Amino acid sequence: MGRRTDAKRAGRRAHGELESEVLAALWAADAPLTPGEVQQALGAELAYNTVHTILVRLYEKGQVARSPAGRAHRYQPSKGVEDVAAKQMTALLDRGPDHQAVLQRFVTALSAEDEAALRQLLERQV
Amino acid sequence: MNISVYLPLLVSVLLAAVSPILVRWLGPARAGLALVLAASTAAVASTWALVLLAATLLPEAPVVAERTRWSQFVDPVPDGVGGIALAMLAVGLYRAAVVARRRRRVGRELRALCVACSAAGSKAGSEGDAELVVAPTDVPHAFAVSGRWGRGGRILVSVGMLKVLNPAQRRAMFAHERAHLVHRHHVQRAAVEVAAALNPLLIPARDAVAFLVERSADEHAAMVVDDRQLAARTLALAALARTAHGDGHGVALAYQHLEVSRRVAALGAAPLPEWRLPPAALLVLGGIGALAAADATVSFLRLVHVLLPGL
Repeated sequence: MGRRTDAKRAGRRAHGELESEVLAALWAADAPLTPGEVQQALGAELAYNTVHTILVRLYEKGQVARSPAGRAHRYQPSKGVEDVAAKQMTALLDRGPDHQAVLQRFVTALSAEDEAALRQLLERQV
Repeated sequence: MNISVYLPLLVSVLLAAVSPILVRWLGPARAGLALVLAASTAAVASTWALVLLAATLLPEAPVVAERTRWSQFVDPVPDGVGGIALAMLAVGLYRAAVVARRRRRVGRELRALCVACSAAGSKAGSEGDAELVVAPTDVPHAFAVSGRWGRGGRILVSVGMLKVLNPAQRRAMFAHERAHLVHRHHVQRAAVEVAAALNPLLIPARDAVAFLVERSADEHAAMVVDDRQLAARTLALAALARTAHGDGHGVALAYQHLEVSRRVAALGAAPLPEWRLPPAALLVLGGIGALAAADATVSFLRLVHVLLPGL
């Protein structure tokens, strides 16, 4: 895979990636956020207008809900059928190790020694 | 036929022997892909070799024995080998079918989970085209979910995971999952899983590939966020949070325990070189297995031709 195709793909995907970051910030927050608060939560790397545009696009797709708050809106993620989702997740993850092996997980649980080692590593870096 | 029919097995043994070495010394992207190709080729070649060996049982079948002079010839394959080959072939094919079915089922369940997690209020075709799907559980999880036929994958993350990480760390995690989707790592893993099911000699190659695709996604994430320490920290934080929720969900396999800390250590060190020569050597090794299987086929057909002139 050449560098050029990677770059092209990155350009095409950029909007989707920003949408994911904004949506993630809304989910991570405990309360609905205004565009300004989202911008802050994301480390203010994005322009206010960009954040606002993305929020509106997410709203139009039905992925976030909003309520008026003064001159702006507060946004929060629209949730799926939580009971069903949670039950399905549990069922999937309760399967035996053979099924676990199929999942492409970000991380798996650690052994006790590894846990201690990683904790030390994190503390060293702070 | 005598030697070449056994060569694919020798190739598989060699692949198994070099797999742990590759993991330690080579950059993950090229080594992983080359190992996938070599192991898949070796699996096909060794399975075909088993078919040929099992076929030497045919002359002993009464129907065939009556009509040919085969049984009068010296059988090139020692007694018993044909039977063993037939048994191994049957077990291998069965195991491969089980692996393929399990993969399909887990894939289907993951996609159903994505639909259930997607916003209830979202419009038309409620799945939507969102890249990110958030699962409503505090247990920290993150998966790459490939689309049907490997198209349009999604990133499935739990609220728990999103809350553990800060925005920069979330970016690193997303970059890791995107690397899986863009480079079709699930296809690579599926290929070696089937290969190892057909030919258990390839199990070390399968495990090496499982590790290499994670390492490759880690390196990609480190490149995207342009910070190896950030990528390493993200991984460590996520793994610690995951471990803190040790509630029986997702009991890790023994080799997976090892994985995360090795991945963190690898990100802490300088990137391993993406050399071209060793992966090329792997491909040659796989090719030798294929050539041997082809050679054995030619010998086999020649034998059949001699014994059954009518064919």
